[in-house]
Amino acid sequence: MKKVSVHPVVIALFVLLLVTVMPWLLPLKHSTDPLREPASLGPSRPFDGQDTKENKSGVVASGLPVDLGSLNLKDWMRNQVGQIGRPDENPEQTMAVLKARAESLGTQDIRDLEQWALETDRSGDERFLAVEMLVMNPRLESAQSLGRILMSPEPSRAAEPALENILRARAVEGLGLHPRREATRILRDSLYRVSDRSLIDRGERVLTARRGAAPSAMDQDRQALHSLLKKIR
Amino acid sequence: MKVWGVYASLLLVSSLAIAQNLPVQDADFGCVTRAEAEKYVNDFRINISSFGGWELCSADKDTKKLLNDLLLIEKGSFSESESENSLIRGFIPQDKYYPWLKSQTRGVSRGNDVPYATAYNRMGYFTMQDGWAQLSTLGRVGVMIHEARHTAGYRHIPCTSGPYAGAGTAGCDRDYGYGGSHGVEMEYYSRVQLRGVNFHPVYKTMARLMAMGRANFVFNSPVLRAKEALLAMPEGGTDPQLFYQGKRVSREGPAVHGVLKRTSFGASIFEGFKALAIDLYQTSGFHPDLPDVYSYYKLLDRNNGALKDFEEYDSGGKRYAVRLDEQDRISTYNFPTGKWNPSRPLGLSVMKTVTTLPNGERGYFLIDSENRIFPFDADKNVLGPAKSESWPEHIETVAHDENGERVFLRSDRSVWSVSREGNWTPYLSGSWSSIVSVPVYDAYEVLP
Ligand SMILES: [Zn+2]
Repeated sequence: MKKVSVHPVVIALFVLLLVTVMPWLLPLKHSTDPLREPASLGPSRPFDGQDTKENKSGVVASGLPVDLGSLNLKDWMRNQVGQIGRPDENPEQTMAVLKARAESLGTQDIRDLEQWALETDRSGDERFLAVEMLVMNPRLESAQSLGRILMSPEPSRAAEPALENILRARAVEGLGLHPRREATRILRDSLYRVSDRSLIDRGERVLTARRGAAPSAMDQDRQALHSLLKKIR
Repeated sequence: MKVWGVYASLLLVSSLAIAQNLPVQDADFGCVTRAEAEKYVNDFRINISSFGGWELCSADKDTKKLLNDLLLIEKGSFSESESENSLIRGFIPQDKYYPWLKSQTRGVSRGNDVPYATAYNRMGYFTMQDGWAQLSTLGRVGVMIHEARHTAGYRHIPCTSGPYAGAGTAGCDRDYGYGGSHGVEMEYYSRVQLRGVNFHPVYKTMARLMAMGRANFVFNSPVLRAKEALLAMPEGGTDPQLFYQGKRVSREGPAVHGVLKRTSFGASIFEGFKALAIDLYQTSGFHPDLPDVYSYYKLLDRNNGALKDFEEYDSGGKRYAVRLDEQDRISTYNFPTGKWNPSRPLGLSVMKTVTTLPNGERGYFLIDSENRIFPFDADKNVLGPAKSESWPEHIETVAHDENGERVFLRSDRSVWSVSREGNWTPYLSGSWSSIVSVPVYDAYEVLP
């Protein structure tokens, strides 16, 4: 049997590290006090609950860097999902962070995101973010995933029917924006399995734009909403 | 050495525990401060215990969801559009969402006494149901804004179009301009998309799609509509003419004689065995016989032999494809499975099929030799009872032009329109073999 042997110096260094870092980390553990007040932890502690740019970029208030990019996708997603419902002082930077991660997604990540996008027991924010990540990924697999998301029938008793619709609408747009040429065929083939008129309409809009005969579906939406807001004076 | 092994294991466990405590989860990022929470609880008289007690950090708890939403409503800001001036106020001033919401709220609690509802508002007291807790952030914020509008007395009316038409319960607003709950909700989504300054990009995208989606079914008078145009084939010709934006443009048609059909792609020419696509947007300089593999007419590939008719049409927010064979057997397409449902004999001799009746009603209608009109219900795959009116013999087809006006192709091949008062006026000069309304995908029509 192979014995486990760790050099005493390594252990000593590890203990030193623990002793140094532990006090910083302990207060982050959830206490049983229901009325937790993160701000009371003091300004020098990491993650005081303030929504700062530093949080998003992965640099904690104490200056301790946390490389969010190195987190596994599940944890990274959990982190990002929490940001969706909060004010965002630097949306461009958020976009850059999302894009960078999305572009580096591997085959298994893409499969996971597709699955999460369709799991109805996940939060709507998480499901939509999963689709958004696929939209920003350039691989052929992400286009195939978006096609399958579009084709999957909307659950008959969805918790949020509107979300089911906009998830699929975004999958349509993702196929329209996709850099791979095959995305056009995937979108067309997927639309044959869809009977929702609004999705078919969006699909055709996207396909018309993709061959240069119309503005993008997103621009068409913005134009329409702009006119709508102008109606009321 | 055993001691070292145990120690190493303990260290491993400790380091794993530390890893789990690393501030990488949304709960750790997104805590609401106690001061913020207390302000929201006071401003909105939130019954905290009904939401499960105090919770400032974990987004899984309903209390935190509500506090988060209020924070986003308070802190979310909008830019003043450059091209617009302060005369544009909208229903709710865009910098006043929080005070407005506060002024319309006498209390907020959590319950599940009306399980089919997402939330309800009784005299300014909101009760958020289980359905509310399951919504996305945008969905929950939308519900708060929606409910708040009811406090000022805005009520819904029964839906007369869209998927909730005939549902019995009052769920729609007259139109966007009424400024009811659906109107203010849609105004919020539109502002988030167009003028939102400090919103998460994903939230903004969701808001755009939510606004566009809701425009289709929450108002009895549509606010945004897909554009349509009139396509007409000259008698004896092969190049269809598109009437769009007040102009007539010649499009390339295949050298085949058939009937113009509306398709999801735009239009095609159907001649019993196959359909050939028409490009509505550009011309190639030659006249290609493009098999229509773009629209649902592609489904014809799977059929052996000629058909009397094939139609793609919309009803109640859904797309249907039906085929009618020479023996008057009808079959509908099952989209999720990608297969045709079994054919069923209609029990009548179909002389003609139309998708628009002279009164403007749309659907799929079969007309027999006595000019009786039978609506087809594709969901149930059955024919409805004959309409009280008969198909007028002098009318060949009815279509709509880009303004929604009814246009008639008469049996003498002339094209007319008819005013509300019933006066007929020539619409196109010359002789035409078929007319059809086609979808145009370059913009939406925003109705006045
Ligand atoms: Zn309502």
